Amino acid sequence: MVRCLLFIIFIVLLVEQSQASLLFTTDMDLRYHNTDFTEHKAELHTIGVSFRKIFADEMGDRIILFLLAETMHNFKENMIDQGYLQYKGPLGKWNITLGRYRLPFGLLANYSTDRLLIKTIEYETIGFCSDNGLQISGILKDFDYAISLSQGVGKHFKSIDIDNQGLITFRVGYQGVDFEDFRIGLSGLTGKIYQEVDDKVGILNKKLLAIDIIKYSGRLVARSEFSYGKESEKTILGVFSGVDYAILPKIDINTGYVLVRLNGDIEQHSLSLGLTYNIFPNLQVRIAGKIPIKNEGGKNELSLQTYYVFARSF
Amino acid sequence: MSYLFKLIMSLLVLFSIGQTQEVYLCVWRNPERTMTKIFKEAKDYKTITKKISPEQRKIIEKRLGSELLPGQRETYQYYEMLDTKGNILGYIIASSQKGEYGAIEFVFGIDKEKKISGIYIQRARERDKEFKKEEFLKQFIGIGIEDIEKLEISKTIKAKKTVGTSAVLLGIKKELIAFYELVEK
Repeated sequence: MVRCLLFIIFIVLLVEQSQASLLFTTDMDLRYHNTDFTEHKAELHTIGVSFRKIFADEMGDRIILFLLAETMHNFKENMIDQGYLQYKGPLGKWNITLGRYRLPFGLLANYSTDRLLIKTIEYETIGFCSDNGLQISGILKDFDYAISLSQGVGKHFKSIDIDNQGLITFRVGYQGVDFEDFRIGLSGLTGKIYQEVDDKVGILNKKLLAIDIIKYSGRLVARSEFSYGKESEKTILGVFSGVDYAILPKIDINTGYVLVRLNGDIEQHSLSLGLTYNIFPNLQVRIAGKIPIKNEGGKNELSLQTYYVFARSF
Repeated sequence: MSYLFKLIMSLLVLFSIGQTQEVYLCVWRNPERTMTKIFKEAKDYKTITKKISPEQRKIIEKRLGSELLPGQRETYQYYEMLDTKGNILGYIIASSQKGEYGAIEFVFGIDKEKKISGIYIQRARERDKEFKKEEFLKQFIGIGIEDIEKLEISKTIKAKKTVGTSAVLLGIKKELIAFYELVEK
């Protein structure tokens, strides 16, 4: 991991190519978490550092190098969330990505809740967000597509030690050029996933289909995902629906509804409500409460977050 | 080795915390999808980043009559729009200005004569809708660097003066001045 980080820093600092541009970003996520008003936890949840460097030739931008390294839970978990090389074809019709990248599945293709308090459902449905592999993606008029062949291991395990047979993921999306405020996508996933279930690590056979929708309307953003499929012999159903609305210039209200059923049994059924105070566009304080709905064993959760992101291009 | 990793991460974050302030980066979202909105014959684009020296920043701010926003003071980014042979068709500039509900992001193109050839609002969460109107945005088509001193809302630009319309006007002035000072000069 350190070698990878140093390698990127090396590229950034030493490759002084006149046709290259670089974006450097760091972010910090501090959290306090309370469960059922009995368990308390305060932590430095995440520090992330990312570099995005573009190399161009005479015909346009050609290669993108991207790295996002993270240390989580008071420095206990260190990992590369994403680290890939992307070769860009002309007009974005095709791009080849090699390395660790976000899987093109459901809302994850356009929206990540890793740094938010109200979560989507990819950890319950897929099991992880990023995986190691090869992806071909692009844009054809109003449609975009992506197909990925990856290890099915995620970022939390050392992929080198694992013999997994791989995972195929695809997504076809629509976003009109004249109506950029609406996106819809259909995605699928099939293969074997290396995943921790009930403190045991094993390989699960998964087949999933999902529909995702994002709608921007002035001060409101609505996002939904419906996933359905098989996890080994069990049926899995996942629903997420969330709305963010700016009630005041610096204050957003955030809501989220989650339902996850495994073989008919409710794994998670909750409603979340939160507030975001945007001190600056890049410094925010959030509070969110999660309430279980008719879910025995579900817990009330209250979270507080201070989030800061810094970005600079060179 | 993990200590070294943690140390590097912490140092980079500490460096960035030292810079805590509002940041307004100019980002062109979905370039492949939207580039043909302004340049129909474009086949690709090239990202160009120019450094802004302290002297150049002073000149730009003096001409603009306003300070550059944080995040826009050190570098200036624009995009060369290219045809199939790599010839430049024009330029795309993505701008970000301070609105009431956060950043107002808009994108405009300038042709080889350095006149605005197209403009659209990329992202904004404003209550105000005036600056999104086609009749307001259309008035900037054909405007070049030599015209910017004349631009004034409710005089040369027919629109209600709102947070949004003022932000778009200031953003266009800023980008054209910066383009002239950093690219053309």
